[in-house]
Amino acid sequence: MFVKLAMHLRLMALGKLDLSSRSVAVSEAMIFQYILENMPVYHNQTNRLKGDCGFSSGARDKTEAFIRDNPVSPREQEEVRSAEELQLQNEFFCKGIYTLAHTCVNYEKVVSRGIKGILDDVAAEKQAKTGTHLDYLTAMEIALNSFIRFAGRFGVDYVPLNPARNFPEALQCIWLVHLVISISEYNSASISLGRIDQYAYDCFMKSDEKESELWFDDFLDKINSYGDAACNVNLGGVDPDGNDLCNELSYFIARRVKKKLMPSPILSARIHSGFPQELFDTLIDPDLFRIGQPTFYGEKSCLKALERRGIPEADTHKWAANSCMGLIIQGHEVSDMWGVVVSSLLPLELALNNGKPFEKELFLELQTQPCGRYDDFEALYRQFIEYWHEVIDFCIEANRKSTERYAKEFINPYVSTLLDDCVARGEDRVVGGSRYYNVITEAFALVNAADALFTIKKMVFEEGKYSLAELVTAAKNNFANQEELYGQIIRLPKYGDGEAEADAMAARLARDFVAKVGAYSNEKIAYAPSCHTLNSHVPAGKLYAASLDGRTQGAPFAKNGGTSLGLVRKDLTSLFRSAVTIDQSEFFGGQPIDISLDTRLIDTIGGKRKFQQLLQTYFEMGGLQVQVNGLTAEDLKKAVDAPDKYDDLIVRIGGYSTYFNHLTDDIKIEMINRFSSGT
Amino acid sequence: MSKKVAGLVFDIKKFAIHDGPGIRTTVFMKGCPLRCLWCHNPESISPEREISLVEHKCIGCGWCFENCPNHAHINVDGKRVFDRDKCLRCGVCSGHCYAGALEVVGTEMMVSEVIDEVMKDKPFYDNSGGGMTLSGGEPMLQFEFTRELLAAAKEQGLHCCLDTCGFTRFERYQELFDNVDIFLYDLKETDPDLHLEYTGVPLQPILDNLKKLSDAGADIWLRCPVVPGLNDRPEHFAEIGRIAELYSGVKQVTIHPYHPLGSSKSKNIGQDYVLKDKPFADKSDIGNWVEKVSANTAKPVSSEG
Repeated sequence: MFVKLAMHLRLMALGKLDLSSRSVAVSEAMIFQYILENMPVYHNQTNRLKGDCGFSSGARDKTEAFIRDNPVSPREQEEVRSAEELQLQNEFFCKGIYTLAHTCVNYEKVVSRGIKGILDDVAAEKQAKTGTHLDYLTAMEIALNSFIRFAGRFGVDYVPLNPARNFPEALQCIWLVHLVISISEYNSASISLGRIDQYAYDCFMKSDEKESELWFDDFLDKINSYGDAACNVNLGGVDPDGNDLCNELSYFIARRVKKKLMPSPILSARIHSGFPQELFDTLIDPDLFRIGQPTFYGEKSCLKALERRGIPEADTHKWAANSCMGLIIQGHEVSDMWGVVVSSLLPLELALNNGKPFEKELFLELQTQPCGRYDDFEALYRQFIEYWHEVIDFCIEANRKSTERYAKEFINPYVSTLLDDCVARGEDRVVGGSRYYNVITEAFALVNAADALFTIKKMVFEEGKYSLAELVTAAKNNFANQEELYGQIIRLPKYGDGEAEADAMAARLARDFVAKVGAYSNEKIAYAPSCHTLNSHVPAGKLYAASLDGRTQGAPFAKNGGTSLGLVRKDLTSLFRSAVTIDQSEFFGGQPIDISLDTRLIDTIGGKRKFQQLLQTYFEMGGLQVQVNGLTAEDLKKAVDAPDKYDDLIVRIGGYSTYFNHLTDDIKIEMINRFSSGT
Repeated sequence: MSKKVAGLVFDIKKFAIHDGPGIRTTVFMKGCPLRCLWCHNPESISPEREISLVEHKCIGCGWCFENCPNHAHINVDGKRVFDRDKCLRCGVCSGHCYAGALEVVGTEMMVSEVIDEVMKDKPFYDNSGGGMTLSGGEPMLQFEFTRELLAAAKEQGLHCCLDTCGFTRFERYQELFDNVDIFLYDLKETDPDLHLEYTGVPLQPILDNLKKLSDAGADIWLRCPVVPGLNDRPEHFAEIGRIAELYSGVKQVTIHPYHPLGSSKSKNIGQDYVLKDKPFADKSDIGNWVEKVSANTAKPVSSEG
């Protein structure tokens, strides 16, 4: 609701402030100032931390009332995107748009030096700058001073102006910075805290632990009440010499999250051979897994990914996990986290269907000439690649235009003060102020396309069982009356089965995607390949016809770095072996793999150790990230209702693991009862 | 060592974490000399291949009705019937069952094929102290295959466990002794009469082999299935503890509480399951069983599940 209020207050500011003689940067700062001065605020008396925006009760109605009581002149938002762009986004899930929020700023600077420290930096740079840079620094000053006054509205006067003296002050400071990022971006998505166990450590060590517990628990309540499910907190990491950086605050955070059992912030455990065993044992926990906590990163693989990307060795160890999967240099980097999204099934449909999608007409005029027939698989593959490149080119260009518009219309002097080197350069973070900048370029359905191509290669070109036209017709008809054909497709090896041939196809597509996307990277912008989907693989799949990997019409795409049909058909080691045939060090935009686990597996120390060894092996083999979901009774009930969707559900029975679907109905009911009762 | 020897395997399970130390791959072989009432792998008992039918997966396409060479699959008043007496176990039906309802249980595999499959997970073994476990059924029933598998695994530097019921000629254990790191040794019932009743074979040869293995310096993990109402007797637990304490080769004891998983599998292969109405063991009972065994041995005693 407060973001809605911020957006309305912006319109009010535009109506009330005379900005005609102001630069864009100063105008934005003054709008920001207006918003902070007029945002409805309150103090939640049940929480020690101050900083609540909106209304304490009846928020929805009161927000609507506020908007009604403060009418603004309607501002027509002219649609500047082309019909081709809109269609690609809405009907094919391919897009290029600058992503708001999703930022992980330099909280360390605020905690250790206070806003006054940053103001000093701004003042110093103003002495040396002229023109637009000087102007931008002025805007930064306005923004920071507005922020200080905003804190004062809550009676918070010492921090964030001054460095925090203890952990409660550090948390208060961090919370206000975090809150106002959302206001300044008009979006509260994925604002991450990053390496809090490092930058708040000194403050933590100066504070009474019991007092810290009370404040941190309130901090967790605040984060969760504001509904940012993708706020990320890192645990550990390594220093430049490879020494582990887990400390007392890392353990403290793990313990408190375990106590409160809250889904946010996402705990990101940075695993390497020196990760403390005790902390590992704390994190491999059934209760945590059941709420999807924590997520695990392979530290060494992530460092390699950042090196491959070109981050100087002096900076790589400073990386932080951002949001649910990105790797960034915290406080120094802008990550356009959904900047480019390309569905790999669109170009495949074009290649298979004479330059047309299976179900709709495409507005975009393609340069690639359709090919009527293919003499061999390689000819088809080349055609697929040509279409893929065209769509990628289009979406990257769309992102570039969107970013250009955003840079002119919605620059953010406040956030820019918190991302280095914007102050030193006197520039906004989007136009080159930040030291690093990445545009995450998502390859949706890459594995679906790979498995579909594998099907075609096998069944058409190698075994000659079917013609390409027959397969395409079957897919267009959602495999109706084609049970035998469909069954054969399903029984073919797929990525995730640990079968070399199928994996090789996925690895090939991955290499080609990386090569194409990487060619766009330059000194200023890194285009970061990723297979991350969050949960958008579901709405994306709804837009597409059936595909030749066996995915039926409207069914979800592969989730993140997982399998095309969303099933782990063999076992976890096979899944992991498949996953590392893709060189994940080139997918520095993030490559999470999701696994489901019967949490009774980790009820014993032996089970925990084996799970730990499984993860560590995967990371050593080159895996970047694993997300674990602990099975619940609800999952089993869903499996009873829709067994086809849960073919890979494995449960533990008396020291033995078996597929839930293989059990008789009465045993399934018994299992559900046992899960419900925690036995 | 011959990698050209073949055997009948019904499953190769990766990420096996209950079959020895670390992360393992367990190779399950067909055939068992025992007939345990509580067997949770009934598909392992017969040394022949079998056809498993998972009813809920059948989509009624009718292909098997039309193509079974011996008309074992028939449609009776709209209901599918699988006449197993007529089944030749040729696998024609399962080869075409795209719904996955029909599957052949038992595939002939060469030693080299099995080892290639097992070796795929070597990084996981290396990181966890895991390796290969041979199980079943009873691996010693396919003795040559078991011997060659172990030899081939050792050539690859794999840690090897042998999950065995102990009912075989000791000379066979001697032949492959050097290639087995841990014997996962089943001790199902310590009363001789009840052992015969519950498993179909006498107890004494199993105890004799246990002693001989221990005397020969083997590392042995005792695995003791416990079935409420059958062998959950105080004297049985006491005897397990005594035996564990008696033999220096026994390094630990694991209680395996009964579970009705075998009931589902029996149904799939068209067999009756004697204990089909018996529920899972109660968690609180399991703790008591462990305590009772522990009271008679200093060796570690734990439970699975």
